[in-house]
Formats: sequence, C-alpha cells, structure tokens
Amino acid sequence: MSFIRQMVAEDWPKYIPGFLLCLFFAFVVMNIHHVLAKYHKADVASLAIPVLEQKIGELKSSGAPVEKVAAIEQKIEKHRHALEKVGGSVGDRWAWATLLYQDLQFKYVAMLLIGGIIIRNTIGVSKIFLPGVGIARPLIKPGIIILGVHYVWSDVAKVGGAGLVLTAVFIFGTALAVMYLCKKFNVPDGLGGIMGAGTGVCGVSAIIATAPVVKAKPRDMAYAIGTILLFGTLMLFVMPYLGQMLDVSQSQFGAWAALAILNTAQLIAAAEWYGEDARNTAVLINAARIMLIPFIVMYTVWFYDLKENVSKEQQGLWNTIKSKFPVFIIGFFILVLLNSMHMPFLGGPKVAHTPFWAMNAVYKWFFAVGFAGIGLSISIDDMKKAGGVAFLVGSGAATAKMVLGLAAVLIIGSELLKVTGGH
Amino acid sequence: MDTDSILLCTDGKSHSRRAEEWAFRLASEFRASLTVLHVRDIFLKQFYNEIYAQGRREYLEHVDAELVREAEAVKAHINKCCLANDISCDFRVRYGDPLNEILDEVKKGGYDLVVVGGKKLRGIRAFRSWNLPVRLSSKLVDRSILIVRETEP
Repeated sequence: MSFIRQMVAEDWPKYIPGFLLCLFFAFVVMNIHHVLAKYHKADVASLAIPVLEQKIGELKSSGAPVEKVAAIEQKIEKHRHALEKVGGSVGDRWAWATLLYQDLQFKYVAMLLIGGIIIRNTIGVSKIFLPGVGIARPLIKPGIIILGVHYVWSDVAKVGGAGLVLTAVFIFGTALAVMYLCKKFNVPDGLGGIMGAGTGVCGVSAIIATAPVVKAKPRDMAYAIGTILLFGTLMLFVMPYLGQMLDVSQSQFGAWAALAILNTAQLIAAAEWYGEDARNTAVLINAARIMLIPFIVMYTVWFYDLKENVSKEQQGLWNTIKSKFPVFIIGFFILVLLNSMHMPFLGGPKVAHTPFWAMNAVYKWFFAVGFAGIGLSISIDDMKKAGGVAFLVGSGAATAKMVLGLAAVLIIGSELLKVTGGH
Repeated sequence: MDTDSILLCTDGKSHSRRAEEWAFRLASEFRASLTVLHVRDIFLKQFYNEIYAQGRREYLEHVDAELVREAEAVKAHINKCCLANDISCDFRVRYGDPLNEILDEVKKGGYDLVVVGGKKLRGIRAFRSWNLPVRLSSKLVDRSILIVRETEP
C-alpha cells in the first residue's frame, strides 16, 4: 500500500481541473475533426464516382481484364459508403469541408494547437487549470510508445539508422558550431552550453538536462527557452505549409521536421499534421535523436571542461546515460520487437479487433490530450522573453538547420526514409 | 499629507536604480518606514516537465539555488544603498508572479505609497515588455503609485 502511495503525487487533486479541461478540449476538437473528415470524404466521393463510372464503361468497352474493373468497382463502393455516412448522393457538394480539411489542413492537431494558443493568450487559462495543463503534455509519451506497433525492425534499421546518422551529424554539428562560436565571441559558458545543447537536440528538454551542469543563469535560461519556444512555434506552423508548397514527400517531411524543429512535442505535432507517413518517419528519427541526449550532456561537460560541476555519482559515461536516458523509449522498442515477431494473437494496427488494433485506436487520444496541453501552455509572454545573444544564436542555428535539413532529406530521397511497417 | 510607509519594488536591474533613489529620498523626507520588495519570477520552473526532460530534480534545484543567489545579490545591493543613505529598511523576497506578489504584499502591508521603476518603452521594446508598472497601476486603484522612469524625461 505504501508503495502505491509513494507512486502518487501528494498534491494530485490540483492536477484534476486542468487535466479535465484538456480532456474536454480534446474531445470537442476530435469530434469536429471527425465531422470535417466525414464531409470531406463525401465531397471527394461525390466528385469521384461519376469519373470512376465513366472509366469502368471505357474499360469494359475496350475489353480490359475483369480484375481491373473489379478494383475500380471496389473503390466506387467505398465512395458510396462515404456518401451514405452523410446521407448524401452523387452531385451533392461539401466544398467547405474540403477547403477546411484538405486545403487549409484544419485537422485536429491544428485546431488543438491554434485553439489552445488563442485561448491561452486571449481569455487566459485560470491558475486552477495550469498544473493539470502541464501534466497533459507528457501524455504524448504513451502515444509514442503505442506507435511502436507501426514499425518492424527492418524499419528501425533502415529509417532509424539513416535517422541516427542524420541526427548525429546535425546534433553534434549544431552543438559544436554553436559552442565554438559562443566561445569565440566570449559568450558566457552557461549560455553557450545551454544554447549548444538546446539548438542541437530537443530544445527545452536539453536545456533542462544541461542547465545545472553548466550553471546557467536564470536570465540566460529565460532567453534560451524563450528563443527555442519562439522558433519551435514558428516552425510548427510554417513547415507543414512550406512542405506542401515545395512538394516535399511525407517521409521526407517527417525526417525534415525531426531535424529542424527543436521542441520534440512540436515536431511530432507538425509531422502528425502533415500526415500519417510523415509522423511515422518523424517518431522513429526522433527516437534516435532523443537517445543522444546523454551524449550531448557528456559532450558539453567535455567541451567546457566542467567535471567539477558534475556530482561524483553522475560522472562518467554510464552514469550520465543512466541519469539522462529517456527511459520511456524502451517501451516503444519493446512494441517494435513484438510487432516484428508477427505473433498472430497480437494482430496489427490495421487488423480489426486485435490488441495492436485497439492500441492504435487510442494513440490519437493520447496525442490529442497532449496537444491540447501544448496549445494551452504556449504563452506569448514566455516567447517574448527571447532575447539577447540567445536570440541571435537561436535564430541562426534554427535557420541553418531548416535549410540544411531540407537539403539533406531532398538529397537522401523518400525511399530510405519511408516506414513500411512490415508491408 | 501623511506617508507613513513606502513600498519599493525592485528587480535589482539598472532601470530600477532611479526608483530606488527616489524611494530612499522620499522615506527620508517623510520619515516613513521603507520596505523593499524583490520578487523572483519562478516561470522557469514550469518547464521542468517538458517532454523528454531528464534530470528534473537537478534542474529544479539549480533554478532554486540561482533564484536565491540572485535575490541575495539584490539584498546586498539594497543594504549598501541603505548604509550610504543612512536609512534602514525591511528587505523582503517573494517567489512567484511579480504582479500577484506585489499586489499581495500591498494588501497585507497596507502601504501608503508604492514606488516602482519603469523602462523607457518604444517600438519592439514596448511589444516585448510585460509592462509591470502599467499593469500594477491599473490594479492598485486605492493606492498611490510612483513610476520612476529609468532616465530623465
């Protein structure tokens, strides 16, 4: 009993109001998302059915194989089903749904983030909700663990391997360049250290891991966190549209987001917004990326020769890995392993009424509640704290990573970055 | 006109220097008791549960230690000023949202006059600033407030 009591935070009731707010916000938005998706599909179906019927006529008259005709008939059946769901018929239009859902990409991610930001920065979030909003954000973690059912080991080896090389080059390249330039221009070690780690890997998460080591000052931390939040938010909203404009493929976008967006929750949001394949690639490359956090801390200690700042029990490679390793990622890899073993009783994300199918059905809810927490906690006042040298360093590093990251994924191509899920 | 108690709110930065000088002079002229309030904003602590953040305990301990260290530096500076002006003051430190903490201190202390420093805000500086003095004056409807700009008009 005492063990259970130890696991529960003493002041847990204070988290309930904010958590319920996120849950309610996510519930409302998910329902709007489903309505938009339903009408968008019906709109597409209404336009597609006559075209496909004409195609069938042409195929039949040209004596095309029966299988080819059957495949198109199956597509028509799916479209008719989409029309039935909204009680419509061929010729009816729901252009508003297509405009919102497809052209403006107004999906649940965008609604939760933009809606959350608007609420937070206009009517505000009452103090009573803030603790719960804070703990809603890490719910993305179980969502990521569940996404393990989308991968097999060959994906991890191929995409994860490419991602590991890419992220290692980008992380250490950025960190090395930032720390070197900061030293050259006499920026204090504390600021140089957190900016190097923050712009190299995982943004605010890396700042939190590094700040105590480099003894960063509060003002520098505020500048650095503000800068990283500002650029993360900008990228989150700009990159999906930029990707569409530049015709970047799903898998390339996923890799690009994982390289360019500093804040990890924001990169997953951007990739999920772009599409399922983009998210699959981004999650895997991000898994490779976050495993490098202990190494970036070690690197910072070595670069600034700060061994005396690290307590005895945290010195050394193994101790740093133990204290800084994101343990939850092991859960993700356990699910990848189970999925790779193709055990029939576990099924798969697309095999209905199986454990993996059920898990896949709930991941979006974890993400939705997490994104609600992210949106409601994005405060423009926090971002306004960006400034000083941190802003110059952060803007330079963010722009360079975005441009170089795009060039790298375009050179690599889609195939190497595509997650197959064993199919 | 009675001004028995003055509350000086300072963040210890350069734009508060003139406000400090004014508060010392006013306290001396009016023979009023002077309380110096220094609020440390703890907004940095909210980021400890950032997704993937590791070493949360060390981070919170580091932020706490730094906030205390900086508050001690402001205290040392105020003590030095008190000695130079031959005046005594009660120095208080609070941790939290600056606006709420100042309002709470004013409510509890019942001061006659609140003195704060104000930055010269124009353009991007005005956009970026949270503008505490303006917010404070809009909330302190039953109290006199003196906003001292960082430079001469």
